[in-house]
Parts: sequence; structure tokens; C-alpha cells
Amino acid sequence: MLGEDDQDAFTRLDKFFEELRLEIRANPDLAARLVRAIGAEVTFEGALAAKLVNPRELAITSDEAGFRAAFAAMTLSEIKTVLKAHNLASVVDMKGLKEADLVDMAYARAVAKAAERNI
Amino acid sequence: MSATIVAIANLKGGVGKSTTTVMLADSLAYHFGLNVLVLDLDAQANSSQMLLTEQGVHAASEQGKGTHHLLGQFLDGRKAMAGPFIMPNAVSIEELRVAEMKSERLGWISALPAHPQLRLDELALEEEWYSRTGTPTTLSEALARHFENGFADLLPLYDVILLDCPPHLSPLSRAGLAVADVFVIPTLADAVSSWGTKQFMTWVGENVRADLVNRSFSVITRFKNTNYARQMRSELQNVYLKDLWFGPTITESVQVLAAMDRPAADSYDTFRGKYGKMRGDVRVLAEEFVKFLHARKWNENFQQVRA
Repeated sequence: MLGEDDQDAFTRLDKFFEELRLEIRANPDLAARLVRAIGAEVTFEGALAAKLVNPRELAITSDEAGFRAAFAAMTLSEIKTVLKAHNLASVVDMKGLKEADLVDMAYARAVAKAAERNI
Repeated sequence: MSATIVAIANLKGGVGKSTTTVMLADSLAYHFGLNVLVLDLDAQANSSQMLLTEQGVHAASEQGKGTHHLLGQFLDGRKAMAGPFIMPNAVSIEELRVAEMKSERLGWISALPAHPQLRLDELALEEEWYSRTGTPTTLSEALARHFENGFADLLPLYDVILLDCPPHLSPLSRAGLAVADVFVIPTLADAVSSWGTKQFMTWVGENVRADLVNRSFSVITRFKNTNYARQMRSELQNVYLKDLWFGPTITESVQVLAAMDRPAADSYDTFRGKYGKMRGDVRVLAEEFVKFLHARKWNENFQQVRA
């Protein structure tokens, strides 16, 4: 049987996990880091994927099909954001390119950059 | 036209020599329309990687380009000629590329890149030289003559030759310092960098250029705006290095780190896109350097061509 103090402990733990759940919902970066920490593989999509994907890391940890799949649900604007945020292309480089061209560029450059740095 | 040879040097590593080299090259080419050659004497090849990417550096070496080939030429006793080892296009600024495509070249950057092989070749050269009772000093003097002869054909072709020197006094580094007309000395606003700068000024002043102070332009780089850094900067500018010409203080910036990481050898960006909020500092760096060259009578012809 639970005593009064134990009930209080469970209530506090419930509140703690509720706060954690809310924070994970609100903070996709934290969610991605926690998912990685427990060793699970989860594919994020759309705007969330654009925020979380690291093309150089993906070039090492995934094959080409996996790399391309990570970009599949992204819009043109989201792909451009990823390339710019990870310093894989300038605005000049991306001018006039379609989604498929951008993913080709992302793959080629991410593989090359990762190869430069990977021991 | 006869190129001014500029050594970017300091005995301390990590003070921003390569970053300063690339920023100066970009800004002199873009704002002043100058024809710039970046000659990398540091086997770490950082400025070469920043200009050409690492893949570009390896590709250049495979095409027979690079400072290690210049060293090989010396080792084999061949006639000194640096021209064949130059990569003619090390431009990443879109405006320069577009002007070139329209046959309206106004500012350009070429590179004589370093390659990690340079370190091994320099060691082999030293072993060979010292086995014949040579000394580090005679080797650096012989290398300096090789450079002077090898650069002779380049002087009419370029406005400025920037030598990115390694953070030590190897014979190769000493040869680079010996052929330089002026010196750009990046430093950090901290105690250990001040010691390195002091050692550099003392040694080069005693062994290479007695009038080093008049030939030196200093830049405080990677500046973090703290009380300590402000004090150190003030002491450097007003006390220890008070006779040097100071360029702008370059703040620590993620934008500069990104600007030095060229996405690919075929990637171009506008000057504004490449340097973002730092573009004003990079412009002032070149403006102050040109003022310094004018004041010291090294070159009085450089005029700003782009805002």
C-alpha cells in the first residue's frame, strides 16, 4: 500500500514526466537527441526534417537511397534552407535549381565534405 | 606593375594567418580590382583548402601544382620557375567570376597551393642539405635565392603576392620571410599571442629585416569583446606594438568560419553573401592595408573599384 509520502512522490514524478513530454513536443532538436541517445532510428519528415537533418552526418551513416529519402518530403525552400544552414551551397549556387538538382548537389557535396573530415 | 610581396606571419599558431590571408586576398581583388597570388608555404595547407577546398588541393597536386613542386625543383637543381605550379583560378567571389566571363576582369585570385606532402619534401631536403655540411641558415639563403629567381617572372603579372607562412622558422619559412617586402602580423588579444608576436618581431628584426617595424601591418583577429581582451588590445596597440600600423580588429565570428569553408571547388558566392555582417570589417582590412602600402611608398596606385 502506498503511504501519503509515496503518493506525493508519484504525483511529482508524473508532473516531471509531463513537463519532459511537453518539452520534447515543443523542442524537436531535443527529441532528436533523445531518440539518438536511446539508439532508435526515426525518420523525421517535412519542416521537422529540414530542421534536424545533417547532410554530412547522413552521408556517412546512410546509403545514397537513405540520404535521398531524408529529403523526399521537403519542399524546394526547405531543401535550400538545409544546404545553406550546413554550408553546402550558397544562394548563387542554388539559383534556378529544382528539387532533384538540389538533392543531387547536396549528396555530392555532403559526401565530399564528409570524406574530407572523416578519419 | 611589379607585385608587392607580403608575408602573413607570426611564430604563434592559431592567430588567424590563413584566414587573414584569404580575407585580404578576397577584399583586395574585390574592392581594389587587384590581381592577387596566394602562395601557401604552410604544409597544413589551410589557406589553400579555404580557397580551393581539400579536394581541390589534392587535384592541384595531381596536376603538378603546388609549393612542394617548387621545392622539388630546387632539390633537383632545376631552373627556378614558380609559374608552372600556379592554379590560375582560386576565385570564389561571384562578382569576380561574372566579370571574368564577360572578359571584363576586375580583380582576380590565383594560388600556388600547399599540400601536406610539403612537410615530407622539406624534411627530405633538410636531410640532404645537412648531409653535405650545409646549415639551416645556408639552406634558407639558398631557398630565398630560388624564390627570388622563381618569382621574377611573376612580379609583372600580379599586384600583390601573399605568402601564408607557417608558425615556425624552418628554412622554407625563413626563405619566405627573406623575400617579403612587407609583413602582415595577425595576433590575438591575449598574453601568449603577445609573446609569440614579440618573439617574431625580435627575431625577424634581428635576422631578416632591420626596419621590420616600418614594414609591418598588424591585425588583431578572433576578438572576443571582454574586459581582458580590450585591455590586451589596448596594450598591444598603444604600448608593445605602438609603432606598427594596425588594421581593423576582426571579431570572432561564425560567419567568418563559414566563409572559410568553401562548399565545393565550383561554388561561388557574392562578396556580401560570403562575408555577411563581417563584410565591412573585411573591406576595411583591405582599405587600411592599401593605406599602409601608400604611406610606406610600396604602392601608390591601388584605387578602390567596388564599394
